[in-house]
Amino acid sequence: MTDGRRAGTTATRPRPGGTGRHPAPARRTATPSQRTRPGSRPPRTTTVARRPAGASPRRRLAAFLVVLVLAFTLVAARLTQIQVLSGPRYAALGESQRVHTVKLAAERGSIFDRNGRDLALSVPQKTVWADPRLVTDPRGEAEQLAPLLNVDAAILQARLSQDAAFVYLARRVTDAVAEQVKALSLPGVDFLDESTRFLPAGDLAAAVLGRVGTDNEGLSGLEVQYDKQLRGQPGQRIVETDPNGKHVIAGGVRDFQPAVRGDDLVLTIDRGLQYETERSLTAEIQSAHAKGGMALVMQTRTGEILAMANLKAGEDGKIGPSPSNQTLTNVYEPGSVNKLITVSGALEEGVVKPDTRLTVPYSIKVADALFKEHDFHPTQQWSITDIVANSSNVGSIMIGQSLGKDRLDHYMRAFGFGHTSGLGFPGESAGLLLDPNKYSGSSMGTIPIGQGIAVTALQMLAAYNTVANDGVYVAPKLVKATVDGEGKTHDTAASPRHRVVSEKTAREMTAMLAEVVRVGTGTAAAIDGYTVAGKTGTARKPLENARGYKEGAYVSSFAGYVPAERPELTAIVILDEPTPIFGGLVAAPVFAQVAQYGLREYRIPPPDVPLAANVPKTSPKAATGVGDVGDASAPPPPTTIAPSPPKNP
Amino acid sequence: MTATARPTARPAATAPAPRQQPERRPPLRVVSDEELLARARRRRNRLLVFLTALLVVGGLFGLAAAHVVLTQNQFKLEQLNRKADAEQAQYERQRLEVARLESPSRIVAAAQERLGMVPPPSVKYLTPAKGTTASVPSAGAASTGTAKAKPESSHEQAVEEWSTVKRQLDNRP
Repeated sequence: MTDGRRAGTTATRPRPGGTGRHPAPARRTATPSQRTRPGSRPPRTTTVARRPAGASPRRRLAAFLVVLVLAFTLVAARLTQIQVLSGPRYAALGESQRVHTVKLAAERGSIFDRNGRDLALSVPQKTVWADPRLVTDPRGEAEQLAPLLNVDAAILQARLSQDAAFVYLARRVTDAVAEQVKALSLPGVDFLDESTRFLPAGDLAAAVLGRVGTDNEGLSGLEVQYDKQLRGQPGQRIVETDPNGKHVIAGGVRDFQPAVRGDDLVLTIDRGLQYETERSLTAEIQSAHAKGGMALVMQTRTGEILAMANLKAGEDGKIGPSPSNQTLTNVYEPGSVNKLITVSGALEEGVVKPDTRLTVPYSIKVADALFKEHDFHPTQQWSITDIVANSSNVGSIMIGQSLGKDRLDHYMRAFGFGHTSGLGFPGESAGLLLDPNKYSGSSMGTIPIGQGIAVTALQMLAAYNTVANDGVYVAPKLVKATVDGEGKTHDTAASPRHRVVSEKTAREMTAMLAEVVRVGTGTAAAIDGYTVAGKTGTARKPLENARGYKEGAYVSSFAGYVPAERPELTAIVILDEPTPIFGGLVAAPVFAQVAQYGLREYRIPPPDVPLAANVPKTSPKAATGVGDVGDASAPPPPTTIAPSPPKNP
Repeated sequence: MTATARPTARPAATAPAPRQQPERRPPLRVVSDEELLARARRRRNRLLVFLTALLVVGGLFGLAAAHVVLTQNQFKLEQLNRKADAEQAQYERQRLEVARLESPSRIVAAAQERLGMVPPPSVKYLTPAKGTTASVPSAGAASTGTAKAKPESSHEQAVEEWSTVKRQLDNRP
């Protein structure tokens, strides 16, 4: 109010006593003279006089208004264009400059043994990176960093001079190196945490655990099989930051989803027993100059694998872990250990009884092939126990023939051959079994003694475990439980099981296998104070790229369980091309060492129960000691089964 | 300004027209109740305006203060987060160190080389003769009793310990 009045007073001041009712004429003369500075322009009075009174200011006002409206229209149009039409685009542009999504990497789950001891775990390690845009002296920085990061200075300089906002300088350096680099405080050089996989027990069970790649993805073994669970779920944080993206603007956290740590695996493996198994096997590979070896230990009742060793002798003679879990991925011709299935099937079917006596000659002709014993013996009257204890090829072929190919095939499949174990391990082999309709004439000479079929070490172990477990097959188990991100433990389902042979057959078979260790081919597997049941095997090795067998190359094995009266542990030991070749001499001692350790660790006392009474003991006369070698003179089966190459994705 | 206030203010401001002053002075009159009420209303309005202004200014200051506190807390949060990250990394590193120290190869080497220990050749179990009473301590029975319990319980314990720790990892905002 007051201001308005004052303004009015100022405007009308030159006109004394004026009421302001007719301001136009007075202003026409007064205003120009007031406004115009002297000398800047010719006096306007003439122009003013020419104009008709009242028209000019109105027109000027109108023109001014039009200009004003136009100007405002332009501004409004531009505003509409920016705010409405392109609004979202500019908003997004602005947002992209200050809003950043920070990925939060999920920590990879750990792998534990059955007792909760770490087998594989991830620990964050510093990765050195740089923003070349902020680097002032690429050459100088490269020279300072090169000795610390152990990277060539020229390479570093090239990376630091790149036209990029992010370059790796060195991934996953040790904490000491990171500290040294940090102390240099070079412009543009920064750090980020990257998860790194460690196997704290070194190479222990390395082939089973598998490897993890640079970007934390499983590459082999359990790491790839359980990759989805182990990996976890990455989280993210959407934040508004300063232009460098380093400091979060106050209240600038827009969204936060925490990373969910990956599930942990609790394996059935026992780290102590695994170590002992690998140690014993390493020593044997060394002393027998073998190419490699495998060993498996299983808990009889549950099918839980306690130890899974895969070793290989390198070019330099050093023994280290195999590149793949060969106990599951590689097949081999089992040889005499397969006689377990031939004899169990025959006992179950009532074809023979433990005390049935067969007239066993030194050799037998099947179709056009002649099969012989490893060591010469005159024609003998042998009980089934004698045949098993001496690992008689001829006797086993005779038993196999009376069982027949269909029933033999049925038992091999029921014992777990010809299909995978259900572990789902990457690259696991199903083994190779011929269809009984495709058997050649001599097949019934080779298959009962374990040539002309191919199995994995795990399949053979599961077959022995079936007899140990009173005739019930239990699927092997490798993962006992998972621990989720919340720390809750989820036990895996119990292994499926099915009966293969009766308890009676299993007991009788056990008593026979105990004779193998007492007086037969497997005496080296004996453990003081316990009864061990098991079977030796010395199988010929097929040529890798052609039909037929490799001369002088054998795969020697021992499979068995202890205590025979009430089995608790089942194990198999396989050596690749050892010297001496006999499973009873090279594999059986390893079995004894491993089993003894297991018995001690699990505090298993000798049970106070007898073995099956109806099984005759091997007569001392019949025990020849070594007879489990695949017949070297026998022709190769029609389809020689070559070991399948390790298939590990 | 109000009509009554103007005449008193004029003489000081405009010196050339002092003579006009008496003529312009309005005659005294009775102020009506309505006018009084209007004045009161105006005063109230002024107070209201003043209070509103105070509130706005105060509010702005409050907002600024809150923002300062927020920023401070943000920094604190960032610091704490960084510390938690560092502590977690430290925990993981130490876990790795413990696992390495516990590895069987190291233990066996230390036991055999440094402490001169040897693996037992065999374990003898003594079975009590039939008819022995239960109260007689027996090595066989004692070890049989703990046979299965021990590995199982250590497994349970180790996994349980981990479960409590694991819940604390990676779950902070």
